[in-house]
Amino acid sequence: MKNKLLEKLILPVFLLLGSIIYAQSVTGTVSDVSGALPGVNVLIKGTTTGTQTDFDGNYTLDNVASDAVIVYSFLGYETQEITVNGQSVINVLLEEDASQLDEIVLIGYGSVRKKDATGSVETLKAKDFNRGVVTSPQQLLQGRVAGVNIVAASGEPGGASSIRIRGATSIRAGNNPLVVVDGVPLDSRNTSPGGSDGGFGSSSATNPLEFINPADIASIDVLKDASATAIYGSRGANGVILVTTKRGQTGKPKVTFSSSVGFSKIANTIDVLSGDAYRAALISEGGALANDFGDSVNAMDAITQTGVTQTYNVSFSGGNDKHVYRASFGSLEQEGIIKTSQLNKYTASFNDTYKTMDDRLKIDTKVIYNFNKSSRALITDNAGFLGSLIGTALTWNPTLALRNGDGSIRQGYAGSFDNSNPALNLNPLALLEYNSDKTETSRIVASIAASFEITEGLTYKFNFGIDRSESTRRASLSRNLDINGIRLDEASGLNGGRAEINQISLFAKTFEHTFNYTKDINEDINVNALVGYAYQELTARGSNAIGTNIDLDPGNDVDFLGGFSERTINSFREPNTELESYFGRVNLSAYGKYLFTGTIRADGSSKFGANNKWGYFPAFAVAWKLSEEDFAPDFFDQLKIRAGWGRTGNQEFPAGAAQERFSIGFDSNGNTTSTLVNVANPDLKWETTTTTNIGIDFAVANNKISGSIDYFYKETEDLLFQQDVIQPAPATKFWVNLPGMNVNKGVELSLSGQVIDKDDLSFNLSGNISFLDNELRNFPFGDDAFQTGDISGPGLSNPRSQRLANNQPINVFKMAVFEGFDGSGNPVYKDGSGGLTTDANFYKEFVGNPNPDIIVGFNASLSYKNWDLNANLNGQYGGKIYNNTLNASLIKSNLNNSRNINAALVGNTETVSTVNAVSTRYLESGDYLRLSNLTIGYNFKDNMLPKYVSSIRVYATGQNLFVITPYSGFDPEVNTNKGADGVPSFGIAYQPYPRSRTYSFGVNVSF
Amino acid sequence: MKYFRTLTILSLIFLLDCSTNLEEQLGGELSGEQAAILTSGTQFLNSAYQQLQQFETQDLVWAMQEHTSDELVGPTRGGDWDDNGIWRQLHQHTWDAGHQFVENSFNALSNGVFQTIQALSFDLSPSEFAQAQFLQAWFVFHLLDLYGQVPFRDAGEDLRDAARVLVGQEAVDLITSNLEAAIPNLPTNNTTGIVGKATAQALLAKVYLQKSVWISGGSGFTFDNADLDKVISNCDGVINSGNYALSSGLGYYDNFRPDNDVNPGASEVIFVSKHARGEGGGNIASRWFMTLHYNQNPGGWNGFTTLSDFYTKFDDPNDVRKGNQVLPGLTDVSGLQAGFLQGQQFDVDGNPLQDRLGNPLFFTTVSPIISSGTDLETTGMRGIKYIPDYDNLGTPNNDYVLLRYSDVLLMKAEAMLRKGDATGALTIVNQVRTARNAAALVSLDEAAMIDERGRELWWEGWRRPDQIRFGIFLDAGAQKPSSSATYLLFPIPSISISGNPNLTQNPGY
Repeated sequence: MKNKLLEKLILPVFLLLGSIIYAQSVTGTVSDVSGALPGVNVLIKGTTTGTQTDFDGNYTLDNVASDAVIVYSFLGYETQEITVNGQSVINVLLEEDASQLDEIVLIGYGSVRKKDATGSVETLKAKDFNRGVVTSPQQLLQGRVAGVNIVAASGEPGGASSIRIRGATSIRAGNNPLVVVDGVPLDSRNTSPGGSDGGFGSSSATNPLEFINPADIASIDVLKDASATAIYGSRGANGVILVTTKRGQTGKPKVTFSSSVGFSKIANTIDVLSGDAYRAALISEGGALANDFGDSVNAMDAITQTGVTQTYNVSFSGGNDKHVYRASFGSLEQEGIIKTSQLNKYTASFNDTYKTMDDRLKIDTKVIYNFNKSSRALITDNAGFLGSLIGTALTWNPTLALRNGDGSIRQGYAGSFDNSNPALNLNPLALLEYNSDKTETSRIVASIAASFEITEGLTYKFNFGIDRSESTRRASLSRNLDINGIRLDEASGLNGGRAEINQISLFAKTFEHTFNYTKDINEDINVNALVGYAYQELTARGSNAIGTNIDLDPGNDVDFLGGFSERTINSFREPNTELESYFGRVNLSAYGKYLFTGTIRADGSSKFGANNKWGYFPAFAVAWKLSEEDFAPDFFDQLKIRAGWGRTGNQEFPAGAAQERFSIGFDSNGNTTSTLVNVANPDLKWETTTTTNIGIDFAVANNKISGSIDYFYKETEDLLFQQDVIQPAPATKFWVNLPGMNVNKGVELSLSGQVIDKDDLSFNLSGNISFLDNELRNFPFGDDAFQTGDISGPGLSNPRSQRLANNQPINVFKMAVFEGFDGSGNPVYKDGSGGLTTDANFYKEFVGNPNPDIIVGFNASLSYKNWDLNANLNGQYGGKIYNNTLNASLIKSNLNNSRNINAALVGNTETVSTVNAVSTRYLESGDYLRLSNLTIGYNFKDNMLPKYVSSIRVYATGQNLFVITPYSGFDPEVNTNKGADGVPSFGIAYQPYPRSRTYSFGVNVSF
Repeated sequence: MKYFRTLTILSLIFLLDCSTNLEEQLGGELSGEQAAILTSGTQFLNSAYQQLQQFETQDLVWAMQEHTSDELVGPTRGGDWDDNGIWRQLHQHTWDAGHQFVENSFNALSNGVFQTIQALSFDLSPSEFAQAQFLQAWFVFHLLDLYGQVPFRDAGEDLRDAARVLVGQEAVDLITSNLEAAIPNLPTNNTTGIVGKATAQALLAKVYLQKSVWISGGSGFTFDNADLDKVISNCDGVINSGNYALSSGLGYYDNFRPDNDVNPGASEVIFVSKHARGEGGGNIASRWFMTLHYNQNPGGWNGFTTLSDFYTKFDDPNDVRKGNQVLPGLTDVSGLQAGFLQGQQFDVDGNPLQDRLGNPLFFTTVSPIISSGTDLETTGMRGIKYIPDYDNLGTPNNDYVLLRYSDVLLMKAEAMLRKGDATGALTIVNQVRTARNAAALVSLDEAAMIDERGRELWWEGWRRPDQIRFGIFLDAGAQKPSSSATYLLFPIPSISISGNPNLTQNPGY
């Protein structure tokens, strides 16, 4: 006791003496890689003496002992300690904190430090994004976040992709998460119009998230469990993705410029026969020898190209402590690997934050404007016997020249129309040449938010946002295309040709009022409470005009609709949707180690039936920071256990589904008709998902290794579904909440580690793996009651390959089991009683499902002096793919039809007259591991930089450098939309746009 | 605190702006209230009429009535027309409750019933009311004929409740009471596309002829003379209306020409699904596309054919109904002939056509249900009954014939035959045959009667009920084995049973 007292008295005296003796001033600048850092805490270790850096990152500390240690700390950066050692100028470069556990994560209407989060939330910062040619934000995320499965429908520039967070909760369409951009919930509807097609099937939607320039995104937060997403109530069941765009920073104005050029080629083709191989096969397999026309052509080569992509991004930002701003402009011009396909994307964004009234009032304004211009090749989801561009190229007879001797495109069939050089099948060059499909979409997302600190700890915030898009599609088929209904046909007096213009405009308006209150009740208990009100209104309307039969060929048919002899026009407006919400959340922190979150949201929607106008969505979560406990082993730098439970909803069904609707039309004689078109369901409501989540966050070895493990269990009930009506009734389907339960459960693991962390050499590895399991339970319907997965193609108009069935995963495949060939070369299938049958309809069984069991992602980043290297891999295992392309388009009997075949069929015992039934013969493993991107970069250091330039980086990126897979199609990441009757399909590939391999080179400069 | 006041006022303004009652406003459609104000019963009746289009497409009721019979087969041609066996199952009587046409037709016909219930609940003129009653009887007729069960409900019922189900006599009563009630109010003149008195009488004749078949479930039935008398009296009603006459010779095809609404030669048309050229809806163009080869004009889908056993029933080569008829307005326009097309096909200039592989386009008499080899594309005789509208092949002007005068004559003859008056029946049959340039028969029995119906009404959508009535529907054919009595009725679609427990699956399924 005495000794201690002595220490307490004497030590300060010595220190005082020391400071008198050695007292000095220290000045310097604190910066990060991108420039000066204002507001950094600079503190003499072991004292309360300290300061903050000014706007230019400068600081001055007086009376610093020469042996003192100065601590530089700033949120989001690694804290640095530097011993003064007599220096009077100390410049510090702070590095961003590699430990995720100190990150701030957004949780919807607020944020918490990751280490205080109670829910399952992950943040991905710009530096961790996927690299290369990236047209749409979700590509940034693929493979980077555990439990998030992103599947691009095809390789098309700007093509649709599905995002599923922790499996598909819904059995119908609408499994994509809610996306919130800077606080504005996005309209999830497709912004561009579809249209009819003149016999080729319909093409899938393009990507509604495309409007954001990936270069403008600062971070993406993914809210995965219900305790995190319940604040979004009836829209939270599929998870929530919060996109935060880059903001201005205080300090001197900063200009950045980046540019890249990329070259894309088709990564993998489907193995069909060459001209010579085809000739040989006609003999060896017994095909019609007349189908050898003597040439050797590769039709796939004829429709593909090296696509060049150029990007330019400029940003300008700056500000002071009252006012920061950032403006940016981005341009991406991407040629597809299929000729004529193109995406041009231009984005301008501006944001501004202004503080006034003693910093108590803060006003945030944001505008993102996007203009997209796309040109699509004729690649459809459900082409019938004609095939679409990819199908016709794959099946083109390789012994037949694509062009006639005079250079014209070989078209038409034998025997009719005096055609001496018939193509016998549709020529892919004709589809390229005579089809035009262009879409222009403008979208503006703007918001203004004002927050006001009413008293210490109590802040009111008002947020108002709009989301407006307008899109026009202009598509035509020239009358030079030699197919029924399109060709100029003098015999029948048809002038041919077809042009259409489809237009759609969407508008969404959101506003929100929130009060946020933070209070330290005592030194151990801290409370943060949020209450809010939100309102959102969505509208949509559109029109289309179609012309058929034109007497001349102007080339740009869509501009001559008036010249078509038959014209139809139509218009539509969707019912307005209003969503009104009240919500609240309490975060309680006790003793720095016990955390509690309680959330509730009440959502009322005009879409819901009259008897279920309001839904209530509660959630609770607790967390215990074990590492703060005395008994916790020192081994753990961080150790936290989380547990949460919550209920969320999904309301992705069309407006107007709950009520009676009458449609006005014309019959085929021009009389007006009135028809009831919907069965009213006043009980219709949201789908309810109840989620339980248990997780552990940890960090060991001085925070060098950190990770999370989560277990989740989700039950979705009141399944939204378009059920068959009970006849007699209008229409054929109506929306109901089905009994039954869709269960998703799984384990997610993510781990990241700093393997090497030296001054000029660092090496980080991170990875995530998710184990997912899905099953439909208590589903009181027959195994074949709900079918989807239409298989298309010649002779395959209608069969459905997938089911929604009790005790099976959703989209489970059910089909005949292929067992090889019988003595006469006909395919045989299991007959269900131990024997074989040639009838593929005789017996069908469940044969696996397309949902992956395991999803993985890996990242490796290495930096050595000025060089850095980054690689991302992603993959999935356990899902199956139905190869509709092989089933429909490349069958052996094509040898009799002057079409190409799958090269693997040569030499098998199959006859040339087989029937192409749906069976496991075409069901393949969808396992893959892809090197999705590999980047090598060089950063010029200070002394190498010209005046005014603060950094230069040059890099080269390769995307999709390899994919390891047993799948025989173009690429195992594929999801052609083969949904039927409102039940979406998953994991079916039909003549998709092939995926590319891209090499790009770029430079980033900042001033 | 002065800021606070400003902000409170501001936020109140926004709060006012967003007050909502969450009532959904429809956009391009009408709510029940709006419909009651804006629309009239006539428009609902038009909707019910429009439902008749489901009879003209190649893949609904028509497919179920024809592919299952002895006069039509949809051969699989390599990869084409396999469609997972959907066509073969029909012809070979192996369909099940999951068959797509079984489900779609059940929905389409029931939807037709619903449209009539809806129309009848609105204000209609007596004539319109009677037309709606007829249409209801028409849809119920086909549900009963195909499925043996008719889901039915009253206007104003909650559509989410299970509908009651009529079977047997109950369903027959609904049809006959509707038609009997309608007849006095229906127009006596013949207006194309409008139900007239004779239309209802023609359907009533069909009902009384088929009634005992339905009530028995399709086998072991006997014909009641009282019913047969009603067949005869209703046929006489049609005959005596003076509105119809048999066409003469090649005029047979006038009833199916693009101008069959105005052509004076089309004198046999009693009831149609009406079309105006260029107006979409329906699929009457399937009449030629479903059968013709790609290289013919119009280029078709190379689909359905007749069978040689049926073709040989045409006993007189001069019979205009048999086929390969050079028809003015058709053959001189496109090279195409009328009737069943057998042998080499030609273009308009008389040049022989080839198939897509360069083989002669020669339609064989035999038509294997799975075609292969070099005649993959050319097996089977095609049937051209409807004359393509070359002014608009996709949305033609042809009206689709639902009831025809010669059918009425043959129904009367059949009823007389079944009552024992073979001589009287033979006179009527020969009247029809003479009009078709076919030699008169010397005697008439049941087998000759059904054959004559086949020759006269081929591909018009009546073959299955006719064959059932004559007890030959389940017999083996060249492309099918004999089948069990289960297949006299179609199954109730599984999905419909799960939604409505009042429906029960038909025996054997």
